[in-house]
Amino acid sequence: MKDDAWFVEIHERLLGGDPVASSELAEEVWQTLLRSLAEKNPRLRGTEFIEQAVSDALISYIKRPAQYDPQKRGLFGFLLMSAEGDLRNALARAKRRRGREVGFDSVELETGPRNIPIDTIELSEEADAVRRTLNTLFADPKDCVAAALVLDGERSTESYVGIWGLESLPAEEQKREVKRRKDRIKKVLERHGKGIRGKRL
Amino acid sequence: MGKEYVEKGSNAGLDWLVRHTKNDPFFVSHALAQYKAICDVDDEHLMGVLGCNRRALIRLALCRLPDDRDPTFRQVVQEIATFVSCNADGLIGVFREAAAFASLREGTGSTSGLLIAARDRNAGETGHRPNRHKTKRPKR
Repeated sequence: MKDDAWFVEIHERLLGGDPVASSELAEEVWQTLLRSLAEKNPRLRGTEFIEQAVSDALISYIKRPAQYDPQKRGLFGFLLMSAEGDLRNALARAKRRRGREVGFDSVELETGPRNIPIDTIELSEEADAVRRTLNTLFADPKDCVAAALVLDGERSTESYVGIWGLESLPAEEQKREVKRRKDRIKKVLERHGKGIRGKRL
Repeated sequence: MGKEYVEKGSNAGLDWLVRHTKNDPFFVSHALAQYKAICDVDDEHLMGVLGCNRRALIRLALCRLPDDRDPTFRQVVQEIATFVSCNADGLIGVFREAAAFASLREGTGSTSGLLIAARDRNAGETGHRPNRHKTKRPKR
């Protein structure tokens, strides 16, 4: 992995419109991001969810590098966090779609994600706009990801436990903590008003 | 067995990313895909036009597509060609063809790309031309 100075420089070059910086960055981080995301989501290994999430995060950043704030975290960490958010959103969408297709909610997505055509998972410009807004509302990138899920209607406690790293807590405490944090996020979203409410990622 | 992501530092696997950027005009992969469609050629042919190997083609595809109307267009293309180690004149020809096609398809009346492409063609700038009898021409 390149050092921090390289990532700072590549970010500056992307901001400046350097025509080859996107390719250099992709070549440097693509495999590492795939590996990192697959390690965090071992049940999704071998599916296209991982590539799709990394691809979405990378392309989004390359096209709009200003969404990254170097003061908050390193660029690789930002990309990984962003890919995690995209992955969870894609899983939530796929889960909802499957629920609609088979007519009940208790579908275990991880048992057969290969069956879901990845090209049906669309990330719209609107979603990007919402994500940028969330970045301004929440300092912690984990809260941004969680807020995106809240807006997306995700209700599973497990999803939020994964985002906030609460796995070590007892189940009841996980529920309480997730609820507390979700309430805080909802308040921020409510304060922000109609501009973001009701948007789907 | 799941995929193993171990080939860090190479561009192995990036062809997946290239496929997912070919409809995005931000990336060179868009122009390459258009060129291949217009001229009805494959990657092998494109590598011949550009004088590069597959790895260079993938690096090229993930660069930012320069605007052919920009005064610095040639300079930027030269920069890209140097980065990926390919033929700059061939690359200009590919970009011009793709831009001309885009102009026609958009129906904007802007023919600058088309005229420049024609001029480049007359000047023999691209050097390596696709098989013309296979080239699909838009109906006039």
